[in-house]
Amino acid sequence: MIQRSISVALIFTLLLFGCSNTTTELEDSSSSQDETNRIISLDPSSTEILYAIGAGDRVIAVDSYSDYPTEAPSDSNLDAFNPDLEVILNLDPDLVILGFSESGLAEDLADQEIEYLELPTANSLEQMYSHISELGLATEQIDEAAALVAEIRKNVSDAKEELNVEGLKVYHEVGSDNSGFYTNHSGTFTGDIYTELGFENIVLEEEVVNGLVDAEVILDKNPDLIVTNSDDFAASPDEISNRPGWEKISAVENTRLISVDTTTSSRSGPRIIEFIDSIVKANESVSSNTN
Amino acid sequence: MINNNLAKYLLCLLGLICVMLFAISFGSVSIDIDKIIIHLLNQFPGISLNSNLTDTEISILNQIRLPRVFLAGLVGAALSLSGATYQGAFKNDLADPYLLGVASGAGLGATISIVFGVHSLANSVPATTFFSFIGALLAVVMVVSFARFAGKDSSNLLLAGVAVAAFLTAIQTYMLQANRDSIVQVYIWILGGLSTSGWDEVLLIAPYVLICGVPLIMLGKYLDVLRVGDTEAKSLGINPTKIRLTVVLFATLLTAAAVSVSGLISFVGLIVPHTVRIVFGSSYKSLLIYSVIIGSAFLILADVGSRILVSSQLPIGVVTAGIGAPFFIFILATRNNHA
Amino acid sequence: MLELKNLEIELSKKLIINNLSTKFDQGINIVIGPNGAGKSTLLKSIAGLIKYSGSIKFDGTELSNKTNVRSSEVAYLPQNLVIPNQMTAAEYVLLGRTRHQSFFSYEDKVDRDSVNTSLQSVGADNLIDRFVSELSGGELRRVALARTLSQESPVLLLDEPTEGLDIGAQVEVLRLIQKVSKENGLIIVLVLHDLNLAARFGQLFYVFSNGTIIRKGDSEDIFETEILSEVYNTQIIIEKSKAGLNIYSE
Repeated sequence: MIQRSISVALIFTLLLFGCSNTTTELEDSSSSQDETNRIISLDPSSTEILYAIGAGDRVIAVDSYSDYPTEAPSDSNLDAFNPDLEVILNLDPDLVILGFSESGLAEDLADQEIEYLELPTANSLEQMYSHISELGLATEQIDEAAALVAEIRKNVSDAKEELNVEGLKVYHEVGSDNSGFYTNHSGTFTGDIYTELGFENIVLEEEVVNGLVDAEVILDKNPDLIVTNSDDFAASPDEISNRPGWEKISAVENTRLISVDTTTSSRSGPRIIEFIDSIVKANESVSSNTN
Repeated sequence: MINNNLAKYLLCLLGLICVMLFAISFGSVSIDIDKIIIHLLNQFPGISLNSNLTDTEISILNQIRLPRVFLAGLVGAALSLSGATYQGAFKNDLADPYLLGVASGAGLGATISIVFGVHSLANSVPATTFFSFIGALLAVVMVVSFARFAGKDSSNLLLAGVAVAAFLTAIQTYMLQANRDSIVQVYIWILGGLSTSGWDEVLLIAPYVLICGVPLIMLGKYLDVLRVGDTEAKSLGINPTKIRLTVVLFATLLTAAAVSVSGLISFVGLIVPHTVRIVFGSSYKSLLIYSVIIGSAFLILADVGSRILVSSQLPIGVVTAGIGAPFFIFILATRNNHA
Repeated sequence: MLELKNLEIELSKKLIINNLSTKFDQGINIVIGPNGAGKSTLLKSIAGLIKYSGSIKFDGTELSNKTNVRSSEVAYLPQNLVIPNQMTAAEYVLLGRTRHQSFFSYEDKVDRDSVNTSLQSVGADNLIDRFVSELSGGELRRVALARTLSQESPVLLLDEPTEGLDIGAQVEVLRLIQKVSKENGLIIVLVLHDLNLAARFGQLFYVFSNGTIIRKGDSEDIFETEILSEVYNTQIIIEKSKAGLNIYSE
C-alpha cells in the first residue's frame, strides 16, 4: 500500500522534473478524499506547503517546530526529532509527513500500517519542487501543487531578471564560533536559491569542513554581497563590517550587507518568495552604495 | 650565572621567532614565507621593502594570523610562567596554575554569562571574557580567605582550593543542568580556543603579561630560597609567607587574564616548566625566563597543530594534552643522561 | 658581643625560655643541656625565627625585626637541613647572598667571589658544581657552613652541626668551625648534645636548664660531675686525661 503510493508519486515527480509549466491530469482530489482526511506533519517545511496547496483544513496536528502558519495545530508533544509514536497513534492519522527520517518512526508507522511520506531535507529548489508535487499527490491537491510550483518558478526567474546580478559573489553567514564561520554554502537550500537567482556562492560545498569555513577563505574570495540572518545566533551587518581585516572585502567597502529573516531564507517552503523579494529589494538599495 | 645563560636565552628566543614565523605561514590561503618575512621587517620603523603582497594577503596576515600567533604566544607564556611560579611557591612539581580555584571560578563566570545570554560589554570586551576573569579572581579570594581561617600553612591553601573548586563546579553543573541549551557553548569555551577578533584579545592580555610577568621574573630568585624550606629561607633573609602570597597573587592574575581570553587550556602550566627543568635545570632564576620563551613556542605550535592535524579545528586543550603528555613521557625516559 | 636580656618565650602555654639573660663573645660558645629543654628554641629566637619578649643586642644595637636585616646580623643552620633537588653547591651557597642583592638584580661578581671564598675556606671548592642532594652528610654540612659564611654576619648559630655524621666527619666539621671562628672573628653559638665533643672544641659553655642559663663558664667550670649530674638527672662520670676529657653516664 505504502510502497505503491510512494512509487506512483516518484514516477510523477520524475515527469514533473523535466517540465517547468505542466499541470497533471490525474483524478481530481474529490474522488479519493476519504483517504487523507487526517494529516499529521512532523516537518515545518511540509506544514507550510500543505497549507499553501489547500490541504491545511485536513491537518490535525503539526510538530512543535512548525510555527507557520499560526493556525496550524501545533502539538507540543510532537517533537520533529523525537516523535512520540503513542501521541501519533492517539491522533489516528491517515497520513504522517516526516522530514527528519532518522528517528526510526518510519518503521514504526509501517508496522502500524499508517501511511507516511518521508521527505528528506531539500537541498535545492528542484528538490523542493518535487516535495511539493509529492505532497500534492499524497493529499489529492495535485493541481494546486503544480500551481504553487509554477508560481515559485516564475517568481525565481522574474527575480533573476530584475536582479541582473550575473555572477555577483555572495556570502551568507549563519553564525560563528571559536572555530570559524557557518555559512549557507552552494550545497545548501539557500545557496541553491542564490545560484538560481544568478549569484555566485563564494563558498562551495567541497570547501566546507564540518560546516565551518575559515576567515582567511572569506577574505580571499572577496564577496561583493554579504547576507546575514536576523536572529541572535548570527552577527549583525555592523558587527560583520567591524571585524578586523574585513574592511577590505568588496562587500564591506561598498557597504553591501543585508539582513534577512532566518526562517524564510532557509525553510524549503512557499515563503521563499518572501525571502527572494527581500533579496531583490535589499540588493536594489545597496547596489547604489559605492565607496 | 645569569651571564652564562644569556647566550642560551638568546638562542631560545631565536627559536621562538622561528616558531612564530612557521606559525604565521600557516593558513587556508597560502602565502609565500619570503613575502611574509619582508612584510614583518616592514613593521620596523625605517624599513620599507616591497613585499608584493596583495591587500587581501596583508589583511589576512595583519588581522588574522599575526594576532592569533601573538595571542597563542602570550597565553602560552602566561600559563607556563604561572605554573612554574606555583610550583615554586608550593614546592610541589605537580602544582599547576589552576590550583587555587582559578579554573572553576573562570568556568562558573563563563557559564553565568553564557546562560544569561549577556552579550558584549563596553569597550567591545566580550561578556565571557569579563565574567570569567572576575570569576577567577573571586574564586582565589575565597580560597585565600578560607585558608586564613586555618592558618598560613601552604597546605591549607591547597585544601581550600580543592574545596572551593568543588563548590563552584557544583554550582556550574547545576546551572548547566537547568539550561541545557547552553551546555555546548560552555563546553566549547572550557575546551579552550585561540580565536581572535583582530588584536582585541592580544591587547586585553598583553598588559597583564607585562604587569605580572616582570615582577614574577624578578621574584624568581626568592623562589630559589624557598627551596630550602621556610625556616632556612627566613634565616636567609626572606619572609616566606609574604613571598608566597605575592607570587601567587601575580601568578593568579596572570592566569585569570589568560583563561578569560582563551578558556581552560590544560597541561601547559605543568609540562613546560617540567620540561625546562629537565633540560635547563631547576633554578627559578632561569626557569621562569625559559618557561616564558618555551611556553610561548609550545602553545604557538600546539595552535598550528589544532588547525592542521585533523581536518576540522581541534580544541586546543585537546592538542596540548594529547601531544604534550606523550612528549613529556619521552623526555622523562631519556632523562638518564642528566645528573 | 651578643647580649640577651630577660628573654621570655611562651609556646603552647608553656614558658620555654624563662627570663634568660646572658652574653656571648667571639669564639665558640657551646650550649649544653638535656633534650627538649629549649636550646633549639633559644637559637631560633636569636635568629629571629620565633617571637620573643625581652632584648637581644649585638654590640649595643637591638637586632632587627625585619628578616632581611636580621639575616645579615645572624646566620643560622637548623638541626635538620633541607636538601633541595637539582641544586648545585654553588647555588646553595649563593642563597646566603640573598640579602646582599637588591630586588632588581641577580648575583654579581662580588657575590660569586664570596661563594668561591666561602667554599674554599671550608675546603669544599671541589664540590662547587655537585648537586647538594648527592653530597655525603659531612660534605653537606661543610657546604651549609660555607653558605652561612657568605651571609657575612658576625653571629653564627648552629643547632647540632654534627647531627647524623660519623665520628670522623663530626670532628672534621668541628675543626672547620674552629678554623672559621678564628679566621673571621665570629661569635659562634653551638648546640651540641655530645658532651665529649663539646668539651673538646668549645671555648665557653652555657648550661641550659629549666628555661634559662644556669651556669656559664669554661671547661674547668662546667665539666664537674655534680653540676652535670644534676642537670642531666643521671650519674655523670668525668675522667680527665692528657688527651682530654672523657665524659659518660653510668
